[in-house]
Amino acid sequence: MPIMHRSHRQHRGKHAAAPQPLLPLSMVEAGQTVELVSIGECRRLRKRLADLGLNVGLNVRVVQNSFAGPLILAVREDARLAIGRGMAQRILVRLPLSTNGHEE
Amino acid sequence: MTTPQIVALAGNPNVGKSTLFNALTGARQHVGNWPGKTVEKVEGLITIGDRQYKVVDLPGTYSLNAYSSEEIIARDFIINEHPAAVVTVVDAANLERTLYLAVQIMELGVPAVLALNMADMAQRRGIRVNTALLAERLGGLPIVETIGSRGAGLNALRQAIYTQTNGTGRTLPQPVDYGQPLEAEIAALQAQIAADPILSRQFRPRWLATKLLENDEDLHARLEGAGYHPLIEAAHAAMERIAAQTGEDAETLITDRRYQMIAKWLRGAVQRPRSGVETRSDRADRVVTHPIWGVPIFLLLMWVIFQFTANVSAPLVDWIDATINGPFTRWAEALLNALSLAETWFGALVINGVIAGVGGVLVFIPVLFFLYLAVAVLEDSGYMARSAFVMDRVMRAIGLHGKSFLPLVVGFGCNVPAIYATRTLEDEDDRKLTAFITTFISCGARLPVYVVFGAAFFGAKAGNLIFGLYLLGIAIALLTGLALKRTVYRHKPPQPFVLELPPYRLPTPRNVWRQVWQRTAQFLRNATTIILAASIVIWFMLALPVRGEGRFNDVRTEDSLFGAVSRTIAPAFEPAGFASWETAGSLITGFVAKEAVISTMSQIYVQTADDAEVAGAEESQPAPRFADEAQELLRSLGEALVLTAQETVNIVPRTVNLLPGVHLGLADWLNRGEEAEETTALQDALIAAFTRTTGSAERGKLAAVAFNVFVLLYVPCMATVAAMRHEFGGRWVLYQSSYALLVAWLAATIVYQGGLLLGIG
Repeated sequence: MPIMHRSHRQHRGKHAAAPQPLLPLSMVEAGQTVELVSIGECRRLRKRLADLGLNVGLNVRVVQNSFAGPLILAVREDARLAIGRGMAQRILVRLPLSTNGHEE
Repeated sequence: MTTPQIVALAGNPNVGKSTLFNALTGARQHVGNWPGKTVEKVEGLITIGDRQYKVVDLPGTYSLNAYSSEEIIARDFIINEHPAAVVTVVDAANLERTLYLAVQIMELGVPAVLALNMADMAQRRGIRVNTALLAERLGGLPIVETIGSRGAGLNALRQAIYTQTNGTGRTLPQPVDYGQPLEAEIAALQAQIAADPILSRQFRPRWLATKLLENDEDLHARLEGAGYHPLIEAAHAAMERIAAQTGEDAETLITDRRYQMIAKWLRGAVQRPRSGVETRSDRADRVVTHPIWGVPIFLLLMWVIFQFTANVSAPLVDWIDATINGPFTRWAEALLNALSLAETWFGALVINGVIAGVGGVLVFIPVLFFLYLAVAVLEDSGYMARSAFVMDRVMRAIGLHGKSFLPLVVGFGCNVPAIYATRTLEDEDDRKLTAFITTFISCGARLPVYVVFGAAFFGAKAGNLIFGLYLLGIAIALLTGLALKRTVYRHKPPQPFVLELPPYRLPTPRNVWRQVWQRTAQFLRNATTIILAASIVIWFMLALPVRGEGRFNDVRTEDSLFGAVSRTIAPAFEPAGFASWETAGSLITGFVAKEAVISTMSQIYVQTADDAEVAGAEESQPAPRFADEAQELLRSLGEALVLTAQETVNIVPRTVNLLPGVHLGLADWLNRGEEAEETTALQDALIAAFTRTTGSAERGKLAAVAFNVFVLLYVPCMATVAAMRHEFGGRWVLYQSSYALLVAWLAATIVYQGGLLLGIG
């Protein structure tokens, strides 16, 4: 969490107009909390992820990302989801403006 | 008593649903499969007050979207069977996510009960749930806190089920408010559905309207097929209007809305400490799922499971085998004697057909027991999910699922538990693919064949033959897997890898025991018929004379139906170099059990010597008294149990010895006299026979290799066939066995003909 705060201070106060850069989930380091912005084009995949608790607009914390193989995410409170790297590359996320990673 | 009312138990995987089910229903359970599916179905009978209930454990699912066979089963059961109540089990520590399924079940309009399970774990993590407030927000839905592993909260749960199945006292759940413009569109579709007498009887109109807007593929296809084209059209038009108005597609809006509702209900009703802290499971996962350390840990655990199914179970397998063939057979003989049936064909059928067949089933009990024990512990502890995580990359490269590894490893011990080990794979196609290739993994029963042939034809270099055969089996399995992925499963979209990693837990003995017992008993029930039938058929073939002067039940093998059939199929092996009725016949009995290849060959090739030896051994001793025999049985069981314990302990030195340069001695509490097997006579006979069939010693050697290749690959033994039929159905078994037979024949022929081309012989 502390890393996140530092990188975001510069954006604060500029209102929401300053767009946060989007990046694939696969690039997010362990320990960071990010907001899901888009989950690929595949309907089935979107629905499957939503069933497991991952939908657009949600904040998730990356628990493990070894930059090879699947990632582990903390989703909705305390659940841990492993997702394949290929999928994580297609999921776009944004580092949230808010310092409170758990606001809806 | 009236027919019991049906209560369904639904919930996500990993919320302790089965544990709660066991606690609720106790021992009165029935295990089977869902019709036409490979998914386990468990039912139990319970009595609450003056009423009886049949509790059905639905498969664990995250939603009712019909994307997997589990979801379709759960959904169809609720829609078609009209359970009197559905208990939705949710994780008290993960309400926000696990309530998602509960909402969908409530939308179906069935009387519901919410069980907040694993309440103790939630409490320990400082999570407080105000159930009264939550129940009030859910329109008076009964909510019960339970701890399935300790059986706590069961009385309250029973009370809630009783109330909810009582026509007047029950509370029906509140519908979710989807807001505008969704509600208007739902109302319009709902009216259209309600106007149709068939649809409105089968489905709750509001639920169907919502699912159609959610673009549920299964329902769209079903309604389209039943001629409801206008309704589907209307749904599509509504979806387009919603997308135009909101800029979002309807299904995303519906999903989001459900999660929003859940968040609203939970606000203030659940207090939890700040999340984001690293849990104990996270710390363990840093090692267990580490990109480097994860793999050796996984391999180590697989090795231990293999040891359990292969070595630890061996003394008990031997004991059962010896008991059936020794005392049990003698008792049966004595009984038949008393009834003066011993000398008749019926007596021979009982002894050589039925008892031998039953024995063939019983020897699998220890093997399956230890497999299921290991699997249950790994599943309950939460490691099984991690194993898929760790092996995903490696196995994906060869077109398999991460969890396919376990069945393949277990297959080296025995293919039967390997078939059942595929149950850890969730996806039906993944399971079938894995089971399909598992039979090419060389099991322990095939090893004696290689050993005898290796010693006979290669002497000290027998190891090369054995090692080569194991490698060939692995190669054929992997190539078959890749080929199937490219052909049969070509159109299947690659399964996205998403997997929940449940927190690590200590498995409860009660739960583990119940799984082990249920699954082992299920194997016995299902395999007995086919194995018994095959044993009896083979006995008849051996007893039935077709030529010569033999009589029924008194005929030389060569002159029996068995001999005739062997002679008929023998020419098929001409290209592979072993076209004699003896080899063909041994392959037939090899279907009963692969190691029977050797016993049949020794029976045929060295029959006279063998007969004399057996007869001498039998007659030199007076028949032991029943009491002595019973005592001996107990003594040998005790010995087998000691050996089992010893083998369990030996896993440690065996594992340490895997490290290069380390050698620990193995524990040896009981001196088992190594049976000095008199195989030299058989070996000489084999060399002579193969040389005779092919015309030269070198060619005979080549044919022997081809024969071993065939034994490795051809139709799995009948116990495996029984297991596969039980799991995947008869048609599938036919495909698999035909393929295996073809591959075996091709490979053996290639070996023999290729060898000849290379100038061997």
